Amino acid sequence: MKWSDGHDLGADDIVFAVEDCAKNSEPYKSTPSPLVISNQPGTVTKIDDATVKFTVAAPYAMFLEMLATPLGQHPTLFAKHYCSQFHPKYNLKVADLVMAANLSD
Amino acid sequence: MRRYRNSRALGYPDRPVGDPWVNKEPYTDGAQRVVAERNPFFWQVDQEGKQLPYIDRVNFSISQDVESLMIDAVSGRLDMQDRHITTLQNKPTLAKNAKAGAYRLIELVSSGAQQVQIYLNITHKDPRMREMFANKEFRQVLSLGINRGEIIELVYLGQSEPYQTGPRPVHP
Repeated sequence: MKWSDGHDLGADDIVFAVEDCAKNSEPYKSTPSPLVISNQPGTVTKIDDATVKFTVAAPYAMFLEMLATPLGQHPTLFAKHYCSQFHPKYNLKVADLVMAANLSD
Repeated sequence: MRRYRNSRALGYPDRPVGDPWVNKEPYTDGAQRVVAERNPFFWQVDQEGKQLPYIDRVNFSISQDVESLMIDAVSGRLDMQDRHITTLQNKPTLAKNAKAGAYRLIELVSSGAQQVQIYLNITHKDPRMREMFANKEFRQVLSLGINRGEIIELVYLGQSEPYQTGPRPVHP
């Protein structure tokens, strides 16, 4: 599976999109509700390049169905190879980009 | 969330996506149109194994209001349109101008089973209301008491049929 620019879409992207973006209170006021069960955001870890493991705090019978709906988009929303350039964890000079783009944050 | 409300932040056409469409010209302040091109690496295929989507590029013009969109539609300036103008109230106008505007109307099967449902609050704060709403016979009487035929004539211009909340006949 590939992103629209031809880069492989893999486990690193899913972990990045969930752990660094969806669960990050800077871009998101709170973790998107499809990823939250029993008031706790789920956790995703990489098993290998094509396998991830989601761990949630309580039984989540509709989890797979949720992933197949439009609101299940978050785990595949951010391509790490591109979006990490805007993430302070991966780019210490992200403030320079903000300034160069004449944005406030 | 401020940065996402900033229209400039939405305009990153370089951002790779897994969606069927890549947003080449985003909907930002002052945009005259929105352009989407097919994602050449999109993962879904049709039943014959052909990659989706079929169309290479779609251009959306930006209308200021539904009236101007209707003018574009009846004068044949749109290739395809579903949202905003496909109301029963607009249907006579759209049908009347189809020949002059060199377009045709197609019937779509709605994915919804129903136009309107009424759900009673069966955990109503008033215990007497709660008891009444919880009574199945009460709900059946209420259902029988609604004149669906009259609603169809008045609201849906006769273009509907009485239906309960349930799967449509075409559902698998």
